[in-house]
Amino acid sequence: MKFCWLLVLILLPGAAVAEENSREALAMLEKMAEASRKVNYSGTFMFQHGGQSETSRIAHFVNPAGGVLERLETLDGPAREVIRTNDQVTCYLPGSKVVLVDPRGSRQFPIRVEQIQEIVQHYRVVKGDMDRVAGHECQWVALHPKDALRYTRRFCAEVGTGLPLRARTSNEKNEILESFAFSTLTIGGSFRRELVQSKYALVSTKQNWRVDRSALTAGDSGDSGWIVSNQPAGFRKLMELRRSMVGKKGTVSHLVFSDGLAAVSIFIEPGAAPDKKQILRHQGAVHIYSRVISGHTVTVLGETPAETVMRFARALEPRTTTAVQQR
Amino acid sequence: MENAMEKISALMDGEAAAQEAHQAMLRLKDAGDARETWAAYHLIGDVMRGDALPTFDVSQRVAAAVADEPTVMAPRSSRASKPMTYALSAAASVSAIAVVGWMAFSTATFTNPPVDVARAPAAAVTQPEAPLVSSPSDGQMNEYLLAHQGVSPSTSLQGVAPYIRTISTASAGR
Repeated sequence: MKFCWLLVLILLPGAAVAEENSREALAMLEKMAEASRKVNYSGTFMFQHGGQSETSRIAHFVNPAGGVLERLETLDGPAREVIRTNDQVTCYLPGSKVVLVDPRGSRQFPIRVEQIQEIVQHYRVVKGDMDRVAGHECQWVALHPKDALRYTRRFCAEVGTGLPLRARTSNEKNEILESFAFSTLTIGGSFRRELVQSKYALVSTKQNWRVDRSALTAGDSGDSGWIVSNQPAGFRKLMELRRSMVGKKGTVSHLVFSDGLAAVSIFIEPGAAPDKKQILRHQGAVHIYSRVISGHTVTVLGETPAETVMRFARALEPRTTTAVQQR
Repeated sequence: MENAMEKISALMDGEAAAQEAHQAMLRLKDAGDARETWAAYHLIGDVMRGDALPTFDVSQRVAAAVADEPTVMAPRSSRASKPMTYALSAAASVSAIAVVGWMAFSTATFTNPPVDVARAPAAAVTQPEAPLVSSPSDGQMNEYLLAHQGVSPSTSLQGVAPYIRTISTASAGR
């Protein structure tokens, strides 16, 4: 009996420390989620996935009205530039003289406090060591999934602002699927137009580059005509709409689910290629699964293990079928 | 401050009531370089939108500034004036997207091994299906990837542009 009490006395402070660590890690996560909306920064970063790596330059400015202006440019490989103004995204491809415009390309869902609570249900949040990235002090935070439907995420967030300076996504075998890290970085500072001015905007119009637009259709419909019953644990529907897509005729139904961190998109379009069976592909941390359901081609993808996107595909059915079954 | 930001944001969206808009404008006036930024955002946004001015509720002042800006006049080409009816052959569009990104697709240098679905938890299998092995993406589904990444919270949590993957490409991929 005495021994038990001793054990409790030893373990209690340990548990308290662990809880404190977890609380701090959560606070850091919240700060991180806010950082891209609150902090100006510019620098260069490297993004790696699979065996590929690429360096890009970024300048990111926010204004008091909640607006975002961002410029991204690749520094190696073929030149590409992305300009983001609030939610409009424009990509310049000087190599092929093409401009891609997506007026609502960035329908971002900033992580909110209640989502942090969701994250905790499906990931174990652990505060890690201090580190230094691109000359800035940062704090590691790890999110370990509680089931096999998610990947492990690690972030090193800058101490002052919460800006993620280094991030990694790894699978259950601890293999890194995607990673990202700043190599040079300036945080703060006021708006500098020259850092976000497009290199190609002028020349693209002078030379009549081909402009390709993919817009969401007006009046996002709340009903795609499809329903996901019994979806994988912890995923909640973020949105449901019909949209047009680059290279597709007509509209495509698009449903988005998320567990607060990872997202899964489901695209449904009428028609099916006769030879098309199931297809499963991956790129970095993203899995893509495609199959035919009730004469429609369904494509499910997300930054999740293959099993997760496949479960979504299995759980999807036309709404009418459900109605009939319920009767 | 939060409240003030909301009002300015509403103003930007053209949703502010006259009284609130007036207050927000006064704040912008006080904000010094915030006003510069505000104007610049709209200007550059308009440049990017090119012909999209009629659908965007800009203030008279910004509209006037846009008219004075030489770089703004240029994009108003007839080509770009039909956003919704702009139709391209699927093949051409897809190849354009492939240039932008997500491409690493067509290369075979993935460290990520094929996923053996048969390993998945038994409980997950609700209907028997032949085991399916994942292969590296071949670029056929880039348009879906592009549409997906703009809506994923994890990309915004990473802080750096949701378009990090879009811009990322592999020279070997083309």
